[in-house]
Amino acid sequence: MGRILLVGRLAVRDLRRRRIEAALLLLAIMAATTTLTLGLVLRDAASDPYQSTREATNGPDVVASVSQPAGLSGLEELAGAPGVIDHSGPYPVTPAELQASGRTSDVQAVGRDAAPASVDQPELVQGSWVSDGGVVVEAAFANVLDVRVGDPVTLDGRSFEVVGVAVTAAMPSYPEASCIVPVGCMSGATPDDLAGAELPPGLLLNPGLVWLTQADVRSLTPDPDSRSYVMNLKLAEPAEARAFVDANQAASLDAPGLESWEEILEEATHLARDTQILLLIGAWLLGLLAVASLSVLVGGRMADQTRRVGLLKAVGGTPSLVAAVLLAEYVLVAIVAAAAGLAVGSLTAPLLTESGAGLMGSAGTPSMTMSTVGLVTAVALGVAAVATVVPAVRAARSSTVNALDDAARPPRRTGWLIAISARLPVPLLLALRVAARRPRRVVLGVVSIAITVSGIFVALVLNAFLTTQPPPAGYDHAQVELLRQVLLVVMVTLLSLAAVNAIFITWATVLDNRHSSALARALGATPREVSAALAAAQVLPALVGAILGVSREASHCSPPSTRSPAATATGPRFRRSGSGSPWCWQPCSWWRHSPLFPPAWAAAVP
Amino acid sequence: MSLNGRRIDDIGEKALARMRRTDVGFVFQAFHLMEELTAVENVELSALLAGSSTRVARRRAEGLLGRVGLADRAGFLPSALSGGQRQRVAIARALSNEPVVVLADEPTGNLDSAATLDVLRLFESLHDAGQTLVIVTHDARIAATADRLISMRDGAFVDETRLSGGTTGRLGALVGLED
Repeated sequence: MGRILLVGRLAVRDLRRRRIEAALLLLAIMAATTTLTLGLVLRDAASDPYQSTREATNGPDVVASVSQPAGLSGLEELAGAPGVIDHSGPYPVTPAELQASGRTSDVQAVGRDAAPASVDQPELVQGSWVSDGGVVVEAAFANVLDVRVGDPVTLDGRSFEVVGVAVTAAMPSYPEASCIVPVGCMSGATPDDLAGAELPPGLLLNPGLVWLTQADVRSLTPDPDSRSYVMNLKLAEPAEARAFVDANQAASLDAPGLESWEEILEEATHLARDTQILLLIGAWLLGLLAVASLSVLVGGRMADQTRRVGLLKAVGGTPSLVAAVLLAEYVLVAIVAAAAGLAVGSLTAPLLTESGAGLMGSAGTPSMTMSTVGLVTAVALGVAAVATVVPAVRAARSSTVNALDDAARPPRRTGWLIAISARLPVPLLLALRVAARRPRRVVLGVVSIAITVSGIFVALVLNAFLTTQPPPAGYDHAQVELLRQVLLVVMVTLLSLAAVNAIFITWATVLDNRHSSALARALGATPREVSAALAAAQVLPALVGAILGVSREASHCSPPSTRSPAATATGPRFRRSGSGSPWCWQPCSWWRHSPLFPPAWAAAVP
Repeated sequence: MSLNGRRIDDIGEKALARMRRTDVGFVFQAFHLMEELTAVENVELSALLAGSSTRVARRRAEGLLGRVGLADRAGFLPSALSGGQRQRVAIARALSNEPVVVLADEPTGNLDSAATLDVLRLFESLHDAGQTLVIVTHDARIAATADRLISMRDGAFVDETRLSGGTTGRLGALVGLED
């Protein structure tokens, strides 16, 4: 116990002696822990509003749809399939053109009974349920159209009145949509996507969802063969919904199309999940940068602590005690940084967890889970350990006499670099030799800049993608703005940490080269040449890092292109609609295919 | 203060640097070699800083190392050389740009007697070849080997003595520097 107290006391005393360095260490680790906390909290918050809606509406576990009346028998078979305990429908669905508030929009109109259904009864947020001549509008769609209860609308030229606004868990909220009409849908297409494209006739563009009485739907589409049908299924085991879909999804175009509630959840919460992905990517980048920052800082501090190490060993401290004292300082800083990051992250998370209008309940922030606390603390300790264990062990193993002499760590010799530098002008000669003395520091500098440039490159490309007009599919303007703010926060944090890194490395380099710079001056180098050499010794590695960062991203990560259809990483791609029509374009979240989002990280984002 | 008829106490940093490159060579008590450079790379550094080509600088460095008796140590790092050998490398470096004068600050301060003798013999050979040497020392025995002795106390000039006999002549034996 006494030894632990001794180690703690020595660590705290040394941190107090160098408060500014300790503060910078804290900030470096805290940048990573805060961003990681935000990402993890969003993971938990993403699904809450959808789950609230599902509970309130008794949302379906599986949504089945067919494009023609001939497929109704298939729906009836599904209603009696093993595992199905309840169902509602089949309900007729027809495509229509809605005009409201001077705007025209395609819609999928679902015919419902006036009586509540046992499965998927949309929850009203305004007004009342369907009645003859009355239309209930999906909440997010109503928000975009700016319609309220009592507003007049027309559907295919026929007048209706908005009698209610409701939310449902059976379909993602606008502007997402599950396509359940035979003519097919295209969500999120921009005018550029449409230019020159051969579209099937009647294709719905960015359709919204409305509910009418079944009689009104039939009156909109007198021809029964042109109506599709949708049925909502409830399973005994909701967790088996995907398995149910896999087991019952037939390959035929006429077979019912099935969509599980998990698939709807993913589409309904993709904004929060995309925000979470951005934050997790940012957190990992910041974590790597923090390791680089710490490595440089720690290396410099260890050099300053050489005599202290010698003193400890001279009075009887074992190498393990010395290593423990050195490591304890950084472990303390890491724990404080983890706690601070968790606190700041949990306080700022509500700003990012605003739910869409189409789901129930305020997003709020779920209470901090033990797994989040554990993971953030582990990351903070891991960053500190990776950066400090090698210098600490090296210092602990150093000779006591040499340590007391406060002998500087001898520079490395890089023969080929010295030979090359001899052929260069004086400033570059000296710059290369400065870099050659501490190759590890140069590598840290290159890696730091490469990570920063890489992250900023991706953020800028994402930002450009998000600012296309109209907004990309799946987002309204408010949501786009939120994502852009997240990108800005990540970029600013990356830049700040990289700037701190650059200052650390430059400061360490200048101090380390005082003697050799003075010697160069004594041998005839001018002050300008020496200054230029020290500057070039920082700029050249930064240039290499910048080139690495940009070239890596540019070769793997291109923004969406309308001229490359069906590519998994660019542009819109086809997705079969539930009604069996092949024409259901869905733009892909192309950044999910970025190399910054490798499969290993995907496991952390369920 | 003037060097070669030119005042040097009021010139700028750039001119001073040029002067260090071409007119003055330095030998320090602590040697001040670059630890990561070999002996020949340390010697050629002055010439490279003065703008000599790589080939010329290397050839001259090898020649100077041969002159100081370290031709077989050209590829050794300073850590692999003795104190006397390091100081001889430093002397070779100081001669790299054929300076007008070599300034040596306590050149034997960190050396044992054998290495001191080696260095003094080297200085003698340089002096015989026409090189001007200005040596700062607290060691009266070293001072006695000079042609001209300027004594200072507390930074002020005290007196000047002109000596004869060189480094290892009768006076050198008299002061106990002979083997």
